[in-house]
Amino acid sequence: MTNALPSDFRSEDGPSAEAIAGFRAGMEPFWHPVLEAASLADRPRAVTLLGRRLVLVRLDGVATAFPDTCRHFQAQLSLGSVVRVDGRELLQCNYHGWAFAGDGACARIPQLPAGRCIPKTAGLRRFAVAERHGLIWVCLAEEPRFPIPDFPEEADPRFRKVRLLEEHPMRTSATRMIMGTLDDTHFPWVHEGILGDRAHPEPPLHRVWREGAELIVQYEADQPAGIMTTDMSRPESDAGATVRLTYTDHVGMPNVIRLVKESAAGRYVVWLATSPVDYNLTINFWIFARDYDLAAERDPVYLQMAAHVREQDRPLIESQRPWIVPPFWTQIELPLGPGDLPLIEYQKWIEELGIATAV
Amino acid sequence: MTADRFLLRITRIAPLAEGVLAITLAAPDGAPLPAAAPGAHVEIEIPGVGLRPYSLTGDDPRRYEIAVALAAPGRGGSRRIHDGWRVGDEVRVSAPRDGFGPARANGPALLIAGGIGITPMLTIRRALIAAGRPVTLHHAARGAGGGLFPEALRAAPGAPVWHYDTACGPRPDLAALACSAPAGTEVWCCGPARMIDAALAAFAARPDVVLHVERFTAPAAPETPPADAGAFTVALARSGHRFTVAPHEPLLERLRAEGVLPETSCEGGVCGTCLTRVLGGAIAHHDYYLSAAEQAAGDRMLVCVSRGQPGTTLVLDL
Repeated sequence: MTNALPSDFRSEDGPSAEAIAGFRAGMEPFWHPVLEAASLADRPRAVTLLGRRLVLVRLDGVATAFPDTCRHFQAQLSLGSVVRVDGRELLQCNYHGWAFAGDGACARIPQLPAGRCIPKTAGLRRFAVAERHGLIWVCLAEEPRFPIPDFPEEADPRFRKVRLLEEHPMRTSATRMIMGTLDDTHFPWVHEGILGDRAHPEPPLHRVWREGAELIVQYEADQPAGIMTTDMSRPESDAGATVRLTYTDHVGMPNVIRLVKESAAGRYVVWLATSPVDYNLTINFWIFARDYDLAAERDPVYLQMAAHVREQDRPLIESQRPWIVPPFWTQIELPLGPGDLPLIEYQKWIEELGIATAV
Repeated sequence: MTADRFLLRITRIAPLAEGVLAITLAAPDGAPLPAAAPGAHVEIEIPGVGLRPYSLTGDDPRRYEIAVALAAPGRGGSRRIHDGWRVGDEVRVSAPRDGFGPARANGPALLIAGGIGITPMLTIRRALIAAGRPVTLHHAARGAGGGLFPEALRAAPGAPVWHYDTACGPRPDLAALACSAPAGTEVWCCGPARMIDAALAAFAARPDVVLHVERFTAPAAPETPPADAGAFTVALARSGHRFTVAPHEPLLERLRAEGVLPETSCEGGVCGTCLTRVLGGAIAHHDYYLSAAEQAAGDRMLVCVSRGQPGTTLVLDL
């Protein structure tokens, strides 16, 4: 997996400069996941977040984020290395050897003439970084608007977890990705036999409300019995039957979603944290948790099925234009009540947050 | 659990139909609950609102099942439940009360229900069928077809069911039902005040028939609606028709009841399909579609979510 732009990538139907600027600025004051925590070890890593190049590095064990540009002559710091100077770890630019401490201050300039001080303006801006749910999160603004959403099952030993990092980033915006995961009326069409049945396209009745920084959607659905809906390791499980599930979807605004599916078998959780590389490219960090069918050798079955469902969604979500969810006043979309109510409420909220501003 | 009121935990909340929630209550320890007679209701304490009666719709001794319709206009109880109740919360509930009265005769039974007034009929009908009495149900509801409780309301031998879809068809003819009821018939009627009043009038001439009625609500207490959810008048410019929209009553629903069917899609104030010209009056905008400047112009509105300012008259180009 790389989060560099794919070589054949084209941004057809590009949004206006105003829409792109609105999306980037609107998404800025939130925590965004950028890397799996385990993948950040002794070397700096380059990531792109909302169109900005960042370097992530562990200095004395602490995950740290700076612009991926040396203050000196703007080479990429992610091409540099971690060096130990006077007992502390610094990020060294491998162009001329300037090195920066964890707080962003420049701590060494090899070419500095004797008797001169390091210029006060030689430092880097340090972005806020957090490690949670096995991921590294960055906030580009001074103050995050909402905390990183809770994920109670992640730390709960009664749940078996599998993680899925898609091989390719999605060519869509993070907000479209969240909407695609929140949407349930596509189940019979895109995931027929797995999550729905085209003979029953009628949407469930949703309850939708806001709670703190979360949009919560709740509904009941009858879905085909299978690995995504019930415990198929039980001898009495019948692949022909339907299963009654209660969904409680928690959208951690604007970029994280946790679908909690309760059935007679137990609880199955789909968790997605999206990383907005830019308005048209998104990296998805998935975790799937279950409190039944707990044998480790069953994990690949769950992972394969989850990956299969994701690949069913991919061509449709990637096909949506404009890339950025348009504001309602444009009348570009035609949501249909009441089935689309969850998406309408999500869109209203991102419009309020200033993320959807123009086309 | 000897007190008249006790704490029960909400174990399930699920939409039953648009604007109607099925809610299950159980003792926190799963203990059996006081038994309920057919047609019984419990009173539920809703802090800040008071006690609200809800008919029990199930017959599992370990739980109480109720159905709560969002009342428009209501006195705040159903709104509080729809917006505020969560699975796992505890609520204070009375022991079951037989507000609707037990059977007093042995002849044929006639059940007449309007809208959410179907809820007490479920257990009454079950008991009458079990007692072997012939029982006919007439159920009037918007988009009926047994929508709310299709399984419980299936017709059975000796127990026919008549559904009336009030959105597009006639309502039960209570006068005709009163004329044709055999002597000794026992009638239960539950529904909106208009239906109860009509039933009382229709059966007044039948002393040989026993009539039980239950109103949804006691006569309404005054309520202060939020800022601009109050009543307003609508004048339809094309037909010259005028009517008043009650506090909290959705304008779109009222337009439909008046026979005006605006084209809609999202019904959430975002898609712009129901954009309607406003020829006069003050609009309370609640949409996400018009810009602030367009809203301020006051010449157009989305009738699915927006309203008239309380106490004013809105002139629509309809």
